[in-house]
Amino acid sequence: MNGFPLLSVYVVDFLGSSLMIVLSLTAFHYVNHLRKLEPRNVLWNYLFWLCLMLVTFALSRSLGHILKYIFIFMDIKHLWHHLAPFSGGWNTMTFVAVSALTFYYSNVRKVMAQVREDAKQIASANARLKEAHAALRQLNLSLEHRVEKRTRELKRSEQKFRRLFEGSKDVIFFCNAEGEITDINDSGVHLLGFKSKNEVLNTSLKEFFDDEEDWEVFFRNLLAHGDISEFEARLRRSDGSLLYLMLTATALKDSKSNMVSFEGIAKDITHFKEVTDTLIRSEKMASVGQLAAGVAHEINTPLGIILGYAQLMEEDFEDDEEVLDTLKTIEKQAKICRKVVADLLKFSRQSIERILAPIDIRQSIEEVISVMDHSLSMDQIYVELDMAKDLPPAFGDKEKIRQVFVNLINNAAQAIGKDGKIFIGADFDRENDMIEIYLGDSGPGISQDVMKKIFDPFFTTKGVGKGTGLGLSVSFGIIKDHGGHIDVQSPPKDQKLLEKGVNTVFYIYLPPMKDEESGQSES
Amino acid sequence: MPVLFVLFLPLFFPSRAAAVQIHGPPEGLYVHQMAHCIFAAAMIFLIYLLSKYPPGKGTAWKYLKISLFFFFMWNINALIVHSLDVRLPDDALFKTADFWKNRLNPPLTLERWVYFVTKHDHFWCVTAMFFLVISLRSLCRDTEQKLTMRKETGKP
Repeated sequence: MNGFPLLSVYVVDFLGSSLMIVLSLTAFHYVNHLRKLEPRNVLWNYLFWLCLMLVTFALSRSLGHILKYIFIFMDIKHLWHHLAPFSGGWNTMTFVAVSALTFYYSNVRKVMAQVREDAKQIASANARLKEAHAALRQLNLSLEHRVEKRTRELKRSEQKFRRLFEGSKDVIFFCNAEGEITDINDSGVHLLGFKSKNEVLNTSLKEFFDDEEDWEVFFRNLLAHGDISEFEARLRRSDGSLLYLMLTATALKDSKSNMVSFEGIAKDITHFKEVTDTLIRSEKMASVGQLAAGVAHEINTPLGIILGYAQLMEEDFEDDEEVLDTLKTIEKQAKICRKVVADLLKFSRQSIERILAPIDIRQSIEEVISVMDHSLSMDQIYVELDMAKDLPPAFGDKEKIRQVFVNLINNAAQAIGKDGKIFIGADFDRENDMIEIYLGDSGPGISQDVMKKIFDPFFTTKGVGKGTGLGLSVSFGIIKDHGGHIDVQSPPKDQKLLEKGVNTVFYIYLPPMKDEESGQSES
Repeated sequence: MPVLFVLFLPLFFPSRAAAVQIHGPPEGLYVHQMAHCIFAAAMIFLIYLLSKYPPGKGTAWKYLKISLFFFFMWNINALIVHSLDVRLPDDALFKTADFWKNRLNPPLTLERWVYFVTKHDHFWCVTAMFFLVISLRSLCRDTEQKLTMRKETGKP
């Protein structure tokens, strides 16, 4: 037989078809496993579908070929002719499917690559965002710490200055450019006689200055120099009483050197001023007293001679009425002079007459009132007494103390004129160990200028011939001589007295009798 | 169901489907050949993709590319053998009643020799399938290892 046998072709075809089925199923098994491991992997999904197509191709083609041999073997070859187009058609479809899948995979891969790239970028952006967030958080934390620290420091500082502001016994004030008080500490509020800060706020500082000129000087200096130190000014409290302050202030200026506000400290020097005034007055009184004593001594002797001779001559000219009248006039005027001299000596505490004994202040005042009550009633002046029952006795010259009361009541009555009230009270100040006697009147009050000279000898506001101006200076000398002191307030600082209508009040402070004094009396 | 039956009826009785255009016998062959062509193109294209944008490194990917190359070669082989099936004259094959004794008639020209060799196309496709299997097996192992490592380290 010529020609080349095709048996090898059939054998390879048969075996190859069998192997194709086995291998395609094995490949499908692996790819299926792979897909299960990573279901979202695009390549595995592609390979899965590729293998599935290859399996169907292998089954279609290889089974077809195997069946062909079986049909030939069984001599039903014609069946193959029916089957072959289906097998071939199916194979063609699997080829097309594999190709479409591959080309489609390319696009999917691109999309996936883009998605991966996007995801990568998002992840990278996320990482950067995370870093930025962490940095921001760190910064925030650090900022929070810093703010917290600064707030703490600020709070401490604020508390420190707040304590200083609130606790200071001196006045600390803040004013705007117009001089209106924008803030003031409690000391300032109370010192100016107010109860709450709101009463003071927005009030011009100028309104508290008693002397407008003082304000002008203060404000002008502040504007000109930017500060002012230790400026002494007299201010008036809400109740009208006076207050001496030493002001130190600094102006705050803007970029154009215009004052926008000022702030300062004011020290209350009222007490210091009073003490200084009292000291000055005491010194003055002492020197005036010495002068008065000298003058009195010098005048007393010739005055005694004048009086003596005048009296002798009266006896000689008893019959001559004209001469007698003249001599009587000389005697009368000489006696007036002697009284003035005696008063001067009393003021200078050089009076010889001195009877020391325990003094019942309450009784003394009541005795003086009973003597003067009639004349006071004539002028419709009524006395209101408010004296403690357990007053300790004072020690000294009862008559002189009475004279003091008489002088003060007289002065009060003269100040009132007609229709008024005199308030007299006494109490024992245990804290200072002093008997405190006050005598107030509803008169018109005393001006500051008068008050400065009120205890000066020969100073009087009464008309000529109505007073010698020695009453208060003598009283001052007597009280001083008894170890006490006398003071005057107009208007009074005591609110209760103010409410009663008192405009001037004299305070007498006398020491109570000591144990060692109780047994001794001298004259 | 009746609609599906009507739709698929021409598939079972193509000669009765008078309303549709009848296509001659070469059409099936052409379609099949074209399918081989795009299959071959797809394989080359995939090799190109895997080379340009390698999804990974290792033998698995090399085996996969080899597998694709053999599939490509199998398609080329199929194209040739199908063409020669048409080209060779009827008397080129001596078909006997005993199928197993069928022979390639002389003269044994190059064309007839090529036909004989390319008729052994399973050498290509079985080899391609074999490389595909070992490639997938390697990929499975690699992936399992990767997942295990990821699980152990806790990294995503």
